[in-house]
Amino acid sequence: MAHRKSPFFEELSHTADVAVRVRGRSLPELFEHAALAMFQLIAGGELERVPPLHEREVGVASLDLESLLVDWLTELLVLFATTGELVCRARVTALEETRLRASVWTGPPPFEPYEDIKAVTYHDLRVEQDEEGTWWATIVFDV
Amino acid sequence: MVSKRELVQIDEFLWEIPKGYRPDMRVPARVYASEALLDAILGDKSIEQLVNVATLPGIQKYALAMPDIHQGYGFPIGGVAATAWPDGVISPGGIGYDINCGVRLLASELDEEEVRPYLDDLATCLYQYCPSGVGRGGHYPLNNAELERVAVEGARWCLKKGMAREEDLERTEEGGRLSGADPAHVSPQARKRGRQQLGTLGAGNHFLEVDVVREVYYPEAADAFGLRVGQVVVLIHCGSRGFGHQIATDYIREFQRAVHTYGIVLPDRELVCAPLDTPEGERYLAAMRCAANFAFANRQVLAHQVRRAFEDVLGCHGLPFDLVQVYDLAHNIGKVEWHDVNGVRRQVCVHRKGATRSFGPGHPDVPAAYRHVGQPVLVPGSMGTASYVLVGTEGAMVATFGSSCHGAGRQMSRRKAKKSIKGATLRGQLEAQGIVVRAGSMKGLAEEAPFAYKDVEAVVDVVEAAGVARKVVRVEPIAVIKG
Repeated sequence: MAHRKSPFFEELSHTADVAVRVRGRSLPELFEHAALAMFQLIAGGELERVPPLHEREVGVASLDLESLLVDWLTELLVLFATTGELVCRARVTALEETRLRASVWTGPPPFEPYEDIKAVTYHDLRVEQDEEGTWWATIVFDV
Repeated sequence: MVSKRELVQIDEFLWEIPKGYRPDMRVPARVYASEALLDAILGDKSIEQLVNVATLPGIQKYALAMPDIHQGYGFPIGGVAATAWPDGVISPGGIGYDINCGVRLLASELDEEEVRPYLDDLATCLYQYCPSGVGRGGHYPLNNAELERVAVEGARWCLKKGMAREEDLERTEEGGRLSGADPAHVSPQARKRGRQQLGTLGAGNHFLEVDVVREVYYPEAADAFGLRVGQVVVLIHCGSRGFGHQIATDYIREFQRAVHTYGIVLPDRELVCAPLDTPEGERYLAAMRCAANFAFANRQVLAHQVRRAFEDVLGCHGLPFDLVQVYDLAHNIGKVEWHDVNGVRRQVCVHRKGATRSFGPGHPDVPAAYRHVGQPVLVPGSMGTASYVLVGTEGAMVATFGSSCHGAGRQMSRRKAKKSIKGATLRGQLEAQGIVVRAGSMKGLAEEAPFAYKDVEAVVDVVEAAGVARKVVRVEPIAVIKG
């Protein structure tokens, strides 16, 4: 499966749901990668085939950094659920502990979407930086 | 991870993690399982999640797990928790994102041999009439006012639209409508997600099956439910779609703050909760009931579409195409119910996450036609194996807040299942067994391979032996429709 070879995330084993571990060289990149990882799952590894047709501005405010990650992904999931378009490119333009602004590019998938992600959960949620400065996030999706 | 040494065996099929296992537990945790099932259960984090449930403020007696328990997020799937009404908590994670995911059973007058010649056409027609797949919209788009009516009236809304019969509603948990639903507490995003999705199956483990009754275990209950060997029946498994997913998401977000407001300390953020008698708790309860009602209506619309498919395909061959509803019940829900708690009759909020209601004979909430035997409990197995109809018991009222198991329970991750078999191969195997398959996604089909699930027979044998439900009939699929 192509999406498991992606350099910036891997799928973790989970009995009923889908969990991913995402990395980024910076916190904004981690958030961008988390979005692309989620849409790569929805696209069944074929996100490259989605044309970036529409640019949209997204702003999210939350309680703390981990909630911000959940709320950001939820915002994009709602965007997909209500427009049918997948996010194929994301650029975080401003990021603080509880606030984020971003531009995302979306397009209609030229295929049947694969993963029915119902929600982004807080379960086992972690956002952390290792000693080398790389940021890591673990996210469990309800499918 | 909890090890077997730390469990106390209460009887052959009941195991307890004592309250002293962790200092934050308010009550013990109890698991219904055979020794073999328990070994499998201990292989993931489900028991640890059950221990987390035992820390919820106001939890009564025990945090309970059915034999189909497996790891979820926050609550384990197969978990039951009753909290004190009105000062205990309600936890949206204890109900799940797919609010009122549930199962409906319809019974035909037909035998397998009568349907076989037309089974391919029937499966194709069902696949067309009952839209499935990721984000797929239905044949009944709703404007905001209609969506609000669905949220308040549930399956009863379908009656006015000619998509339900009075007897369908009588044979649905809570009459297909939870009272106290208030759309004022449902966000614009949830409305947006729900508007197009009435009458859709969705994807994942949701399905529609044409089954045949293979064995009757309890003739008196089978008679009451109108079931007999050789009969063709239909099982529908789905929930509240994006409407419910978004309502759960909205309140799990809101409750991240509520736990601070009410000074609640939890071992997992996904368990966030609020006391039932606070503005946050009341708002969630009112919104959750809207989602539950949407799900009852969703399965009702699908039942109507299934009836249309039977009529269109079989009617022209002079076959009796009518389908009578046996029952519809929820397996992800929070309900305020009366139960005996340590000898005192009181109201509690029963969270059932991957667990069903299992009320025994004589209970006033059991439909009149079934009251002498008890409430039907529908237990879908994995695709291609078997499903069961059970009946609720007095034992469940005493031991499990009137609850039983909901399915086979996963034992293998979806990822591993996909690696183990190709969808097309699985489809070939099912067809060789005489099961017609209509699936939108071959990868999705592979994820639901029968070997990814526990043996449903082992699960229902445990609930029967433990006395929380009794086997009535076993059904096996002849056609499977999924996204």
